[in-house]
Amino acid sequence: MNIFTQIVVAIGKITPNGVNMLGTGFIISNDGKIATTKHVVGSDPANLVILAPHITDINAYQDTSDTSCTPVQTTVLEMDPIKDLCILKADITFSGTLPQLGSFDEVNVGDKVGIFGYPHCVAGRRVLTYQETEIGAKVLLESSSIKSKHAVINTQARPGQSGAIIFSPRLSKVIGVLVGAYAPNQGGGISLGGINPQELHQTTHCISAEYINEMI
Amino acid sequence: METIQNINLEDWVSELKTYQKKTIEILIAEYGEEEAVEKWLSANGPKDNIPFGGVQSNDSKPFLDRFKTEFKKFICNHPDYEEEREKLNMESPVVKAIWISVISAALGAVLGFAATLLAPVVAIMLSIVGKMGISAYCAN
Repeated sequence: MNIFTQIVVAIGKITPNGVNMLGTGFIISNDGKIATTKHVVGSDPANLVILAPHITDINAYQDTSDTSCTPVQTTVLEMDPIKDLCILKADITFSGTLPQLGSFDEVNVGDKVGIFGYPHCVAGRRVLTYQETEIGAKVLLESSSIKSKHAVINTQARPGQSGAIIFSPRLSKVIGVLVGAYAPNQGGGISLGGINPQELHQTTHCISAEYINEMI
Repeated sequence: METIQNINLEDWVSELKTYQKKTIEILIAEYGEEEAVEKWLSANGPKDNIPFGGVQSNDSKPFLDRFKTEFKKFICNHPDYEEEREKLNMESPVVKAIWISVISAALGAVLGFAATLLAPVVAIMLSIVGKMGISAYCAN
């Protein structure tokens, strides 16, 4: 489990007031390529950074009052706005063995999956958090008439988990990337204290990691 | 820059990365070239999905207009892009990948947009200009 403390990173932008965290990403190559979603990064690659790992032991107490961080300059290599995927390149190297990229083709509905991400990083809280759930369904989601393989995972996610790694313990592979939550009527909805009630359910969408392979 | 007139859409698209090529070919087949440009630039993942977190996306229509304006400036000899055009004019015959790369990077820097995101639509636009002829395109 400790490897995830080194390969799952918060993604941010440098602003005049410090680093604004945007979501989660994870290292996919030893030369510092990172996968995340396109919407986490946005279209403008300026001032993009990742935050270097802040813990090495997943069981360590993460000090939520510690706002110090080590930003690492990051550039955009590839972006797919249809599938909402993005490949970044950070000025880092990783010397360990990375989990292979797999696909939702390799898992069954009901299989356990692990999720590592930073659920509330967009609110400034950097806590690497593990969740475990099951594949609830395999679905094809459409964007501009193009259908892509996704899975519904049976858990509620928060905005900072966009780009989080979806891991199969059985296969020891990365099988997906968390992209958002089901919501049939976007735009014009209400927000209660910054929370959109449409997001408060357990139908979280993840895209199959096989599409990352086509981008690297 | 007249040399691009003999290059067709398939040749431009063949220079893209595989994931871009596969998607752009579907979008062109489904919507035509002009609308494929708009679809690519305005896409933000699947429908019925809240892509929470991250940076709010651009309003696609004003961005599309800005993209087309800057692209036209590049092609139609506006002095803002003189340096980049000179790089391309040194390439003979046309090296398509370099054209896409140089134009995407130049426009991306001005528009605040990732060059890789612009590459597929630059390829389509170069094909459109080639078909029309640069003089006709610039006269509009």
